[in-house]
Amino acid sequence: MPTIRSTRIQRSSPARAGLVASLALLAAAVGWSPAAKAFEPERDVTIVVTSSAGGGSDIITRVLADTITKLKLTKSNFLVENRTGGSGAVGYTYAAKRTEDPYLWTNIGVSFFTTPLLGQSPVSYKDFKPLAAVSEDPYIMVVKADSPLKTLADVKKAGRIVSGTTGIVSDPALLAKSLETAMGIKADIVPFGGDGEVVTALLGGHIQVQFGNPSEVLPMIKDGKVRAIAVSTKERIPALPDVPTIRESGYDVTITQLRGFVMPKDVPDEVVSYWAGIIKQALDSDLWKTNYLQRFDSVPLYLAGNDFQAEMDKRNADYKTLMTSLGLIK
Amino acid sequence: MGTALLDRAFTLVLLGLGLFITVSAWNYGLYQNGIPGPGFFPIIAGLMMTLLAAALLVRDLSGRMRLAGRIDPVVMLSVFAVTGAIVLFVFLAPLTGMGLAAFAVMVGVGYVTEESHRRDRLFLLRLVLVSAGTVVLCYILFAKVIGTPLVTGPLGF
Amino acid sequence: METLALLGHGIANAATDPAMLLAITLGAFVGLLIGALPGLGPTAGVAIMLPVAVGFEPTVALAMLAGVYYGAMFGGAVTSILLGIPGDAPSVMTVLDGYPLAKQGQAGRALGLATYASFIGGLVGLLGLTLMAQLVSSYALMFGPTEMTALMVLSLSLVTVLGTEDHLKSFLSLALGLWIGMIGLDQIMGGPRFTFGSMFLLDGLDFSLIAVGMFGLGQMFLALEEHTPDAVGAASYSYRSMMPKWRDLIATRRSLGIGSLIGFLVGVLPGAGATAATMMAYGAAKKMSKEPEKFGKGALDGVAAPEAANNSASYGAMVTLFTLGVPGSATTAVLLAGLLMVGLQPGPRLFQEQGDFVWNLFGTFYIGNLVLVFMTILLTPILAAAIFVQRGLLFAGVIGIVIYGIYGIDLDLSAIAVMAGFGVLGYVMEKLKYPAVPLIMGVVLGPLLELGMRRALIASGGDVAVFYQHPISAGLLLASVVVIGLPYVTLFLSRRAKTARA
Repeated sequence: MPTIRSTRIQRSSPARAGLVASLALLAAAVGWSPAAKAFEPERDVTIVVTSSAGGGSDIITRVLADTITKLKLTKSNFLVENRTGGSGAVGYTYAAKRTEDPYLWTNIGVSFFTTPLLGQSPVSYKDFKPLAAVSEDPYIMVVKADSPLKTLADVKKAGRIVSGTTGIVSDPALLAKSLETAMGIKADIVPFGGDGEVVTALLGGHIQVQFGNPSEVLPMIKDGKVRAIAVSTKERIPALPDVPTIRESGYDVTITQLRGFVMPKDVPDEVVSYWAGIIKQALDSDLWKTNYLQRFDSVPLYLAGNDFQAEMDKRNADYKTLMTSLGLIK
Repeated sequence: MGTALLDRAFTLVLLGLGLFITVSAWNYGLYQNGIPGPGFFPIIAGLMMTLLAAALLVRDLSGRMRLAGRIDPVVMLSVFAVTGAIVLFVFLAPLTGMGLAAFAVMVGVGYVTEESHRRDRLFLLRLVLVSAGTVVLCYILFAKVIGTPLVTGPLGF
Repeated sequence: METLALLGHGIANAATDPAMLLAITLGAFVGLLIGALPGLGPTAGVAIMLPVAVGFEPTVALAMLAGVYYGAMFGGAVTSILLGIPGDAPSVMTVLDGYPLAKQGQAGRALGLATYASFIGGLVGLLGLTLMAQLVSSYALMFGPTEMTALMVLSLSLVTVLGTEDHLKSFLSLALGLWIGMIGLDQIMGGPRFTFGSMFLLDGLDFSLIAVGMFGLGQMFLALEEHTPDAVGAASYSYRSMMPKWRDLIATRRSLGIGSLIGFLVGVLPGAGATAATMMAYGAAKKMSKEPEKFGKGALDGVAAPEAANNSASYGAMVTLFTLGVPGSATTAVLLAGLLMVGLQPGPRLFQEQGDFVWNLFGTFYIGNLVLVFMTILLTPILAAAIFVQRGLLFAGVIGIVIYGIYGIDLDLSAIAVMAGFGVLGYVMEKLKYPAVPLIMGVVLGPLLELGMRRALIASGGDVAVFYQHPISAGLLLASVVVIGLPYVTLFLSRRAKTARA
């Protein structure tokens, strides 16, 4: 078995090594046979999440790790570390510094692109190697049930919308700004501290429009408290077959929430493809479908290698345009 | 050091800070599209601080209200020592691991803060035991129970 | 009536199921512990337990997570009172009177009162959550950015009550706090403010750093000036003095009531938070008190009001979570994640579709609250003995725990140095007779005011009239004018009465 040049991990606990060994034995006992691959993991994997526990990024990370563990796809265990702070910069810097660590995944969110663009982080997305994108969450444009706005045409007629978003440098804000340009309307953005605050502001009539995550908005749509106007995906989403996409309405705007993982820059390609393969197996499983896709009404997606790299380049350019239009960068 | 002197120095620091905040706030932009911008609230805080500190300075210089008393030099030294020990910890921990560094800081802080006539051998023994015990307890609690990734050194804790 | 029957059934279920009782006890104990650790608060506690809990059956899992949440509210008081170090952000106000009480040899009394206050506040919050959730959630929806702005103006006007006689220094302290609260990325426009190019400051300073530094370390420095009695555990202390007293409860009934009420009502509001609620409760209790001069020097009301408020607020925050599926605070956001991970979708239909789950879970809250009282009361005499520990040893141990606790917030060593800086600031301010309370109010309430006002004005297109056209906002602003103006009016009237008599 070829060894990886350097692992550069200081933490080493005998207890954990023992656990790995016993798991390996267990795996052997249930008939797990290693496929012929260039890389075989010998340690546990750490996944860095730059937002706090309980958030969307944290949930998908934990469910994915849980799925891989339950399906016994690899002998490594997974440890999720929430390294928050610095709008993501703290966690990403920590991960980027361990340039060759083959056991370090990092979850990516919007701040992966935007904090470096603001010039507030010593590392950028270019300091990482793409591992895999694992899901794509749609944004659903909703209004309060008694709102006069029923379609995008009504929005166009109104000429001005007040939309609530989670933070200013975010996908919903990008959506609002893109609609502003595409539709020739005025879209004011009221940034809130979290999705919960946006929903209550919408229900209370303090804002007119929200671009929400399915897991938050769908139950309210079903309950008739809010009404969906459009979805931000390329295709209509299964949960809302009657709701048109923004593109169908004639405006070329598609923005989705990309969830995925990256690895440090200098990790050998065979290591990245090994882990990408494990992730692919997990994503194809029924367990993933029931525990993640159905529960969070997410759209399945798998991108790796150059495809993922291209997607990251595109996102980075999109955010750069948004932030320039907001006057945050020159 | 006389408390009155410290008071004046602190007022001057606040005056400077107030001016700094005001100028920075101005540069952030007070208004953006007719709506209060990033600098709007900071400039309120900055001006408030500047004006109040100036008023305080005037009151102080006019001699109408001055604090009496002095700060005990021993206490002042202890404050510096404790703060210094904590700052030292921040630099020491990446080299030795949090466990050893915390142990050193705890022994240092315990020694400084105990009254001089009570620093006998028994106390030192107890101090070392308490410090070591706390490190072990915190290690178990944070690293094992909570699962916090601690900063570890060559000894692994 | 039907609600009562469902609730009774839920409580009975929770009390008789051993697995459930174990989950409640475990959750509450972990919460108590994490709440007592300086730095780590309820949000961190629930997040830490999340991966463990989701392995269990839904009701058990959520009972455990919620136990951590309200357990932390009990636990925060312990370190606040015994050591003068706020165990978590919502227990900062408890330090102000709890610690002086402990120094007067009444640690047990203060801890006992805090425990009962927590229980009563919790009960009020629970009754609000379980019996009036639907009603209360429509009240929460009426509170938009405009109303929040007005509420913060009212809260900050309490600085005139909570500062000292020296108004110049009180307001300087407030200005400093307001500025500290603005450090970090501007949440409205996204640009950095006062970060000096440091990554560490981008998300702003964690309130725990400030609270633990200013109060914890600051108090420690102050204590260095005093001489401790030679005979440790001198005769002036007795275990009897450490037992909680029932009559303290009767004496503080008004503060308990106002604290519970404010806690619940503010806790319900999305984004306001338990810490803000404790500040308002403390201010209101002082304003109502016949002996406001005792506040800050060991007033029982000063312990009762904030402790009732923070527990009540924790249940208030759950109202929108259960009725709308919307988390109003960081901790309830983690609870929401817990619900989703065990396969439940909170929201309007949860009560109909998963009624058993909801009522059983609410049942566990009542039991958990009771369990916590016994747990804390049993531990109180042992914990209160901390004041018998020799100073050097106590400080050494405390510094160690604080170091680990502060590091645990963001996994960042530099946070510890910043905390030490706030310790020096706290000490200097105390020596120079600057009150610390306006500063921490500025840090907590200032950002809420700024964000509320800027959000309201973006939504209104820059029209300032919204603040007096909305009835709730207009009422709150009027109340602020009264709070600020009333002392002057009474002063003026009493002077005129005197001159008239003369």
